[in-house]
Amino acid sequence: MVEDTRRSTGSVRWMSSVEHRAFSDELVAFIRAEVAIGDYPLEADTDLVLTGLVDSLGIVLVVEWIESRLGVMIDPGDIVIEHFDTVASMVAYLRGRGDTPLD
Amino acid sequence: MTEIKTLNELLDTAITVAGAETEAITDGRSRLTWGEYRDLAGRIAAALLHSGVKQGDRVGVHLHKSVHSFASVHGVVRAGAVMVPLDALAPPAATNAVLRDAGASAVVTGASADAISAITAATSVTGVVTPHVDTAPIAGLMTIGADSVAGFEPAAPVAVAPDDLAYLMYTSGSTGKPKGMAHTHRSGITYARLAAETYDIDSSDRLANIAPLHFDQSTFELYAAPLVGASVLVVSDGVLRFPASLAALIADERITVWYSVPYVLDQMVGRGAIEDHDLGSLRWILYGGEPFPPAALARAMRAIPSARVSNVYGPAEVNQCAIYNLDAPPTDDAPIPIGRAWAGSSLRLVDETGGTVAPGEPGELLVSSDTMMRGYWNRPDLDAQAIVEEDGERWYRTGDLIAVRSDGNLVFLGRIDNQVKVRGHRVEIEAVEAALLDIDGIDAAAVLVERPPSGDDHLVAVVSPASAIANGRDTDLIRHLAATLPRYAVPSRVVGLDDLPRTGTGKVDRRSVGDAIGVGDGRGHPEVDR
Repeated sequence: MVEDTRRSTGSVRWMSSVEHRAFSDELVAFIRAEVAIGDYPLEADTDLVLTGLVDSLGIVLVVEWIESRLGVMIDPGDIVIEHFDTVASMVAYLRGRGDTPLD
Repeated sequence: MTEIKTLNELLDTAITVAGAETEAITDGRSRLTWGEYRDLAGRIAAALLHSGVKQGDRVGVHLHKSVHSFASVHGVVRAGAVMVPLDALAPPAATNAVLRDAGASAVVTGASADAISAITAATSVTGVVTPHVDTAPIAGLMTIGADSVAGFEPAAPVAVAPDDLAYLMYTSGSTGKPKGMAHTHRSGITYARLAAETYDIDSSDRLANIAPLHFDQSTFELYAAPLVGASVLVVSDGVLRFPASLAALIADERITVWYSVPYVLDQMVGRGAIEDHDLGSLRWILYGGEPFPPAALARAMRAIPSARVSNVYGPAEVNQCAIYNLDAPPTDDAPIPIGRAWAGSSLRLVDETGGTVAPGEPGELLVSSDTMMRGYWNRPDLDAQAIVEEDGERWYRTGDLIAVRSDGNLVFLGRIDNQVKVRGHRVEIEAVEAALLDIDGIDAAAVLVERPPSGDDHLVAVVSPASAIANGRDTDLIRHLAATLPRYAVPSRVVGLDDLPRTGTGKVDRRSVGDAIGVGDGRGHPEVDR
């Protein structure tokens, strides 16, 4: 249904917003399946560190996944808590860069 | 230096030394003066006393790292109670086991009502203080939330004697049952005084607290800092996961003394974009918990040339007992020595029979010092194994195999048992294997330590039959372990093997299992050049 609506409106702005939401879902699914420790429920706005879901190794995995998924390099100086404490923060940071397919 | 004899007077001492209006502690969000720090601790103490805590009761501190976690530690001690630091990131079952073993009567926490119910279930806990959040009533517990805590008059220190217990430091024992090291005020204050003297710390210093409360390195910032009025930056669990955030904070806060396991420093140096930050305020870098790979240490020392480095050696049972300082980066791959006996510690090396080894021979290290624990909490069986009395002295058996180098420095060769270290945390291999064997469908298990050159040591589980981890069940298995074991004890990956190699006595042969999958057996670094 989402696909149909996208075709009918043809709005570029709207299309990109679908993409970043889909990306967010994909990232949540990746963290749940490959990174998360314990069984704390994970959503886009869940604090990954204070819930204990992701440790330092996990952050490295997340960064690597994002880099290969979006074809971007993330500068070590950008891997800071403000950008990576939640999936929503990551998506906001990646969109804000202006050089990712999430624009 | 002030001659106080108990930890409950430390914050008053700090006010005498540094002044009530001077900055004492920050976590990057809140910032308290010594007067505010003491009053917050005093209010938490008053709340605990109001909840019925009596002198000598055990009280858990279950908070994420913050000014509140530090004030809560001092609040518990100020109330004359015995502080039990808990890992706020641990599974509830593990925390519950510690509270039960300690026979705790109260907990200071910030957890949700559900989490509080889970960690206190079937324990003797009756009081719950939440110093920075309000909490809903919980059946069977007296809960005192932030609003009420703020209304208490700060309590004066409840009188205790130097040989009364001050805190219990828990690790997981080899059977998975927690074991608590019982430290007295005397051992705590002696350690604080010697540490402050050794590193020449005074009220102009700013100490970074990296270690969590349940890790013994934190006793340095908790107790040595107020003794001399040095201020503390409590680095939050969140910032610690992000090397670049950590480097920025250390630079911004003009930290002078750093103490951590090697991994955290190495991560900051390697991934923290430190060329963007001025870390020149650092004058001491202390590390301990495990060996620092020499090349990684050399890189860190070149990156932070303002700091001298001290290799701090000592099991939590004795705090610190050996020291090796470096003024220049190591130039080769020889392991960094643990050095020589630290202030007031006596060390000797013994063979399997307990006799002192011949000069030049390696042996198990025994330690006797005033910073040693009284014993394990309610575990005379463990005391009998770990503590030997000779000539009126009590000696702690470290379980570490040590040799004396030709220059007189001690070097760590490995463990005499199956304890390993993962990022500074002790892990008893048998406890992890026992947890694996508890899982349906697993017939045999071996746990090994993988040591990549990055220094990022982690555990690998090998299970049989191989079908036990087929179809993505390895992930389920890791999740299952994460629900019962502390996170550092959870293997990073699982390998399936249908037949685990066994020794002549029928036990799983970890070394051969390791050979089969290309991983060492984690017994340390036997290739040391003596």
